[in-house]
Amino acid sequence: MEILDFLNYGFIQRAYLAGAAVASLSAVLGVILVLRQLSLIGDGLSHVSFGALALGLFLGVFPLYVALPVAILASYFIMVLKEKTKLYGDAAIAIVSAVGVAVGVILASLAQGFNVNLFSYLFGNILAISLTEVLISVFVSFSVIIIIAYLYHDILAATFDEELAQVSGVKVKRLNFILASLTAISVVLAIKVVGVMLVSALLVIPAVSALQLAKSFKNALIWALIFAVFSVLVGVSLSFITDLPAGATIVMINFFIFLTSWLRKYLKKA
Amino acid sequence: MEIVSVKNLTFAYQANPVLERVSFTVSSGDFIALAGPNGAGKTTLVRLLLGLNQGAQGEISLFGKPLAKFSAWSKIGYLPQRVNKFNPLFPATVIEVVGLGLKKRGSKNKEAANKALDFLGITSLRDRPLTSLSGGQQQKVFLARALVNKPELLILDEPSTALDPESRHSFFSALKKINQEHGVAIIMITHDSASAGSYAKKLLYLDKTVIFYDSFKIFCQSEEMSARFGGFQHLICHQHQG
Repeated sequence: MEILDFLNYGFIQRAYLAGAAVASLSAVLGVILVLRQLSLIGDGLSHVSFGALALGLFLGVFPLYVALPVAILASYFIMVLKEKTKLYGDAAIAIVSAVGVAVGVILASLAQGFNVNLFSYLFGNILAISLTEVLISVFVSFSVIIIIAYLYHDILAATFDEELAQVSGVKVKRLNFILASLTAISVVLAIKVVGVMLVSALLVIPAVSALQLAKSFKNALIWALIFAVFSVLVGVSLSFITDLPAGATIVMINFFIFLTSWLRKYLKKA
Repeated sequence: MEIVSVKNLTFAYQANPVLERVSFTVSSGDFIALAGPNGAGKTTLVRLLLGLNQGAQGEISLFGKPLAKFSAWSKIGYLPQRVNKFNPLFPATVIEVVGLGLKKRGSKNKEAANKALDFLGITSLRDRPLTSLSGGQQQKVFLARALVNKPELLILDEPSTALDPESRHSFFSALKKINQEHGVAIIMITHDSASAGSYAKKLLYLDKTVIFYDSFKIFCQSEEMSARFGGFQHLICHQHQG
């Protein structure tokens, strides 16, 4: 089968592996974030990461090393801003997001030499992922999923109702900080797969598609994971065959999955 | 045994006083109806007891420990007023929701969740999505969730609001059974005076401060309360006359 020869290429295999790992992580976190009405946090953190990536390029440091701590700090800042100032969740995200982009644009304008590199982070380039990046993506994604599995009961309780969870003995504030950190890690990893502009799609769309079908929380996590991994595998393949950008192709496949699952639900109701 | 002790509790939202020098105790086996007019501070009092609101002056002890040091939350079951306002898109089955009340998961705890459903006669709903249930069924599911750890104290905030008369009767009968057969103390905020008089043993009447706290029998025989409450006393006392 000549058409499947591309599966033998190392860069395709690396893209499959890293993409599937990051997609699994994003999908699981996405269900939690969507149900907590924090869908836009991925968008906010990816925009902050844009500023941090620009800072890394500006200082000559490996950009993702700067983006990771900055994204984690930004996720805490969003939570504190939301809690202490009694802002709505999306308003806190909008503030942090706008500042992140502004910093990135100012640094890009000052440096004037790394716009090409910054552009690659904006739209991702999973087909150019290195073996080291694959290993980091797989290891970190696997570790984060283990942490989520360990905290599953508390996460489910707090996602359903924070106050009831608190009265059941769940340390909700601590849990929220852990989830914020995990989301920041997931966003930074996903930047390499789909780019700053499309990270939130990888978090939100598989989750929303899964919620059209799921009858239980566990069911939603499984469906989201299946949809996200499927979209990455098909997206990477299609991107190679058609010479379209991988990140955007992955997002469009996710969108078609969403349309199908929504249509199925709609027709079932009708 | 004294399980709740409140001494001189005072609380204000910004400059508006909500509770003023509230003091009372709850013992094992008590079934207390917490009544009072709108804005009397009933829900605030319960939220302060549960540590959901902060910033009050005075002392709260739960099971002999100051609230700040209390950590045995599995001894308390809580059914809030707004359970019917949960996210309608949340994909949870009945057994998942009941299991949320458990401190830790595990096969023994799964059994506890099944037992709680069985106790309230809703085992058949076990695998149904929560959103597919009626208001009365959902209320029972949340009661099962509050009972799943076999608590020693159950706190309910207007539990009968969403219930039709038939569901209300079966709901209160379940509460009576929990209180009488299992010795669980109950504090129940209610505007349902007739049901409160029929099922609860004591009345805590709150209007920013404690106006009355004793058994229904004493409330119903008190001329002072009769002069103060008139119609309310008549409505609440038909089960306790004589």
